[in-house]
Amino acid sequence: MTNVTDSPTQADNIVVVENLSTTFSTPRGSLTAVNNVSLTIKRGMSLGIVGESGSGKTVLSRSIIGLLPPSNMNQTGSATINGNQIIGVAHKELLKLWGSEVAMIFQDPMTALTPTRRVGDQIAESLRINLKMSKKDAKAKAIDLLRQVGIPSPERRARAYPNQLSGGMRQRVMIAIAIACGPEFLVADEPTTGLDVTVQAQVLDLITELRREANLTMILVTHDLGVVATRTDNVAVMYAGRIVEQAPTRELFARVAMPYTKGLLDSTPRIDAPSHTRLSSIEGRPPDLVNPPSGCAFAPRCSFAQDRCRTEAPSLVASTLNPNHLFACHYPLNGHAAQQ
Amino acid sequence: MARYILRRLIAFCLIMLTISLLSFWLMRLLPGDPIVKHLGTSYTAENAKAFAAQVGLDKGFFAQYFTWLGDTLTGNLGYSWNVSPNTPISEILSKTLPPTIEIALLSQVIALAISVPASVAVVRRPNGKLDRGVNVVMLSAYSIPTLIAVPVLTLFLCVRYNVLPGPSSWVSFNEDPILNLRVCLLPAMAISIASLAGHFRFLRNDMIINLQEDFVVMARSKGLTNRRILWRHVLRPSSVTLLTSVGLTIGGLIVGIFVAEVYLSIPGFSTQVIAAVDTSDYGLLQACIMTIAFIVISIQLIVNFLLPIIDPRIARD
Amino acid sequence: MPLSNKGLEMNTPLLSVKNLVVTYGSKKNAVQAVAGVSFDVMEGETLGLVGESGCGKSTTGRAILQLERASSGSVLFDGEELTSLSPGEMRTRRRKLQMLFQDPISSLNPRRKIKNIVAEPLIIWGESDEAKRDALVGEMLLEVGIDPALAGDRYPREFSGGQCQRISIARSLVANPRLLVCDEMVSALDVSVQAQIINLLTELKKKYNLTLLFIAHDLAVVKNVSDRVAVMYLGRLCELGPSDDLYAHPLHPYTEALLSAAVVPDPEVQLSHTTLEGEPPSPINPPSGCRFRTRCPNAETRCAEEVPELREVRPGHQVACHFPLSTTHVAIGESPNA
Ligand SMILES: Nc1ncnc2c1ncn2[C@@H]1O[C@H](COP(=O)(O)OP(=O)(O)O)[C@@H](O)[C@H]1O
Ligand code: SF4
Ligand code: SF4
Ligand SMILES: [Mg+2]
Repeated sequence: MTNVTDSPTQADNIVVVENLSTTFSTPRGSLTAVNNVSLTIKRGMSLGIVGESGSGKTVLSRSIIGLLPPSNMNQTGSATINGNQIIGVAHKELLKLWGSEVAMIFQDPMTALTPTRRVGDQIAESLRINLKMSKKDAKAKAIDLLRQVGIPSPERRARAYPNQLSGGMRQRVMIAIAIACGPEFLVADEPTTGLDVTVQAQVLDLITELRREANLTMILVTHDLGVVATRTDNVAVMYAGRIVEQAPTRELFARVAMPYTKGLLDSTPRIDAPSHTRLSSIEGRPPDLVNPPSGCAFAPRCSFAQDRCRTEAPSLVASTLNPNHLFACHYPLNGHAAQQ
Repeated sequence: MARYILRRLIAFCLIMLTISLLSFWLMRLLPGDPIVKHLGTSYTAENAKAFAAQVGLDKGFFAQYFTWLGDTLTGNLGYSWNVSPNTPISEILSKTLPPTIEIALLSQVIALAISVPASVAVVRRPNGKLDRGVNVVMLSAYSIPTLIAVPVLTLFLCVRYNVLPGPSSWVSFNEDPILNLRVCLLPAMAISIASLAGHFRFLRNDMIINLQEDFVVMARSKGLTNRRILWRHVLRPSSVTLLTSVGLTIGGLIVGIFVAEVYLSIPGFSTQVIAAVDTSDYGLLQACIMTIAFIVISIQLIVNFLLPIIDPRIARD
Repeated sequence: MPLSNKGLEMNTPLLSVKNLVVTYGSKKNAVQAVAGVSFDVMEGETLGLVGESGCGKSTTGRAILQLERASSGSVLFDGEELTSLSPGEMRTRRRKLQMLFQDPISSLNPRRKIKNIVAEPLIIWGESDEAKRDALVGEMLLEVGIDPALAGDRYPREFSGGQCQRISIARSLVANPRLLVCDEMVSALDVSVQAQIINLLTELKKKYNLTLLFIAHDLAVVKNVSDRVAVMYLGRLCELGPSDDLYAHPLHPYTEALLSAAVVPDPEVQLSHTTLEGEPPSPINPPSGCRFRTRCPNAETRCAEEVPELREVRPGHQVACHFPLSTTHVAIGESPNA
């Protein structure tokens, strides 16, 4: 297909996104949910995407794997997975990737598993379609997979309907479906939101372990900075459809450049902070994506905003402190400055 | 499970009893005296008295009711008075019910055979050209009364193209199953027209709602074709309203079937119902009402039983 | 710093719950959602109630407000036994006990204007003077950061989740309550909005001398807002103590497991990571003795035979465990770089 190159650095990047925009036509006008996003993910790495609800995390991650329904949507730019172009190609081409090379885990396993089919069948279906397994083999492999994701008495559970399982168990089933055909790239969209902490830890441990075994590349979408801090190699912070800061995880938490990221961090209650620690909140609300403000989209809520912020949109640039630390801000924090 | 079935059965019996009592009472409020109708020209005061005594019409209401109830429960449905005098009612029912039930079921099979694929086809593009076109066709069909559908279909399928047997070709299933089915096909088609639009609407709407669900995106991300997603993942969770609607529809088909039976001279059950009302044939009418009630309530029971099987999220109360 | 707003008035309990039991379902398959819970909430205090979903937190909150019938036990509010009040009598007391829910948008009547929603408690409690009502409604809306002139004539759907939560707070405040039961009230909000609401609640609490029972599953949120925290598991309390002490030196193995599963937005902080296996058993058939024993790493025979009662092992710090963790044990202290 397109964009296959032999240069080692490029080949190392399993996901390459360039100037990707996703726009929906709505009754109120066109809504730009993803605005000119570029990013790359190296094989075996995990990228966390964080941001408030409505910031475009889900649309971006689904755009990258071509999973958005085409009606009332328009996309520009490019996204490739293993050199396969995703944007603008025929549904038939995407079908070859889905399930076998890329897979997805959703937030709410109750609504993301088909309620009227036994969970074993839902796993086996993927194996039969993508790996052309026989009915019998697929059934046996499905039970193996259930065991692998830590579901007790998998033979019995394979015959259960999703509503007969607990939330944690449903999430494990979904992970089993995702890894069934040995994908190389996994998109996990809020995989533990709504789960209790102990179950969240179990599920995240499971994902980490499975990734290590298969050298799986992952996008982890979450609004929880704590999850990002412990489970990702790199982080992209989204605001109003754009990536406003991106860096290796440790680097990001060590010296935040973007006021918005700082705002998110400072408003997150911490279990290791004393009780009654005052949280600094970000006042106001994210902008309307149908009528985004000119200049920096965060300016109306930013306590560092100056005139320039309201007229001139900052672009995502590398920091002088660390070339892998990108930010989109005219007045970055912690001594960051834009590389020329 | 055993408790569930037991509870349902008890409720079933109570409903049947209530219906029997109500209909027993309401029937006697119908205009027309069964004795006058029965005796016709041979009516005299003595004859009337003798007939009343013979069939128990001289007794009080409750005495009549409990006599009837006792007889019915022991399997004795009595004789028809006026529609086909002195024929055992059980014989009338066993002869006339099969064609009517056959037509009713066949009509639902036809309605589903059309509405299910139609829904699956249109939901790919809700409010698209195909969807709007099919909607218009379904609604127009819905507004055609059976009274017109039967003769029009007869004209086309029997007279002009001669693919189906015309009126008065009735044979029972035992005599000639193929011909029997072909005879029933036309009335079933005519009657299915009325159910079609409803079934289509319910299924289409529920499928459109379910297509918004995450499990559809999940199925897509598994690499399934749209066709497979619609048939294997979306259809079943979307058919709850449809199944309920089929259950409710069947009871309401009796009037349409009557029209078809009369026009096509099919010796069916609905003809007996109308005749029994007409001639105040209390015994036959009561048996007919109980039969209809039995069928309608049984279908509801079956539907209620099937719903949790179709969609395991529905709890069996 | 810890317990900083423990004032004088905190010595008298405003709410006292004793051996509360709430049972759901028919006699044959009865489920004790709350199986004998006792705690006090002091005047002016915030008591946090944490635990995993289904452990009975919400049911406890609802039973305190008599929205759920207690099968046994007592709920003493300001010296009065609430469980024995008739529904009519309870209605007149309800003014003093208000509840706030997780989903503010659906808990506001979508067909009523904001000003009428907020005025509703005043009308119910017989404030007939319209001018006075309007004034109070306006004042409370301003108090929660909503402009009454702009918002008063609009409907809930025109507002975001955070704004609706503010409106719910205003509605409960016009009743001039003494106790607020907050059930997961910030759980559905984004962190930035969550912080706004937490800060607002903290301010209002001080200003109106409110007492709070703060129910949530998020350990960090509960620690932040609470003076004391109670940990619940499968219908019973495991542990109850001052927030900082409880988080730093948990005495109950379940509390420790919860804390070690929590995450901190800092890659440099390594919490001890002992993952709890499995999920809570069904409350239909709770384990004998200690309800946590099926998942407890320290369980012994005694735990299966004898129900551990809540007892005080450190000043103000109670635990329901036969073998409490050593008090020198540190789960979460001040992080090295906090
Ligand atoms: N109305 C109800 N009928 C039956 N069971 C209920 C009802 N409400 C809650 N429960 C059950 O009670 C237990 C405790 O629920 P809840 O109080 O909602 O816990 P939490 O607030 O911790 O989520 C759960 O097992 C739940 O399923
Ligand atoms: S560009 Fe200006 S408004 Fe935007 S985040 Fe930076 S300082 Fe704030
Ligand atoms: S009582 Fe026993 S089982 Fe229960 S928490 Fe303590 S040590 Fe564990
Ligand atoms: Mg709850």
